Amino acid sequence: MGTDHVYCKTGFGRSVRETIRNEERHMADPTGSPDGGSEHDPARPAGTPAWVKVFAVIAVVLIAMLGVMLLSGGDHGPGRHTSGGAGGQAPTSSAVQSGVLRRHDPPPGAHIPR
Amino acid sequence: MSTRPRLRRFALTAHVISSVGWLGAVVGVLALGVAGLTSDDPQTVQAAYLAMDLIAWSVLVPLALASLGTGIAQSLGTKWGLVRHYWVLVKLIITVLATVVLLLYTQTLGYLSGVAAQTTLSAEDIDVLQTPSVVLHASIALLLLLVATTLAVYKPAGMTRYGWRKQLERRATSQP
Repeated sequence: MGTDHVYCKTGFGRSVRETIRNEERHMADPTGSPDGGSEHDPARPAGTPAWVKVFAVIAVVLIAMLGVMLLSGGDHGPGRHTSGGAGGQAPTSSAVQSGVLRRHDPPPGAHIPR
Repeated sequence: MSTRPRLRRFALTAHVISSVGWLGAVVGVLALGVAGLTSDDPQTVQAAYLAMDLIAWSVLVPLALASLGTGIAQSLGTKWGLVRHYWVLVKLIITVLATVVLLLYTQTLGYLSGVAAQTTLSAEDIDVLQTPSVVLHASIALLLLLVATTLAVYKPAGMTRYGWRKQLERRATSQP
């Protein structure tokens, strides 16, 4: 309480308190935000925003690139991280050859860099 | 279903701390990855990979799970919901994707740290360790988390069809 009192006497304290209050109000009730639905006909849903479309296009392009890499026998993809995935390589380090690695033996599909 | 303000404030604080902490830890791993990739000193390379494995399990994974958990709780506890607004939905997808890839990539980090844990490293071992894989994964993770943080701060407009229906229902019930 004492700290609050000190902070309240400064501009910084007031600013922090206002920011927190605004953020809480914003987090609690989004209806006051620009996407609250008050700017368009409430009887019809607003269209998909442009930024969502841009994000979707980027995601589709990245997924397509990943798919092409996998289909063309590339050496990366989510499958490399899973135990049954394709593309796992036998470990090549001398530690494995000498039997040093036990606890850290790679799982069958782990991504083993070359 | 709105939680009480005090609880909401606590959940928001926990979410911000875990999310920003996760982002900071990824920057740390990226720095270690660059050191492991570019250093000529085998001891530096060893130390970098051992540290990355430790950070992955003791910092990255707990913070990622905390960020995901507190984010879901925060969404469900407020009128924002999980799938009512596009920015919340996109942020959820990014967080889930980043967490899953992180959990899978811990296997790779475990293997690399096993190689690095040897007393002496052969040229072959150094070749295995000096892979751009870690830097690539950490860079993509950093980019995704920066996008998620930006979305959380700016909260760009856009309501999903589900959110729009829910809003109509709420308005209908609030009007006599």
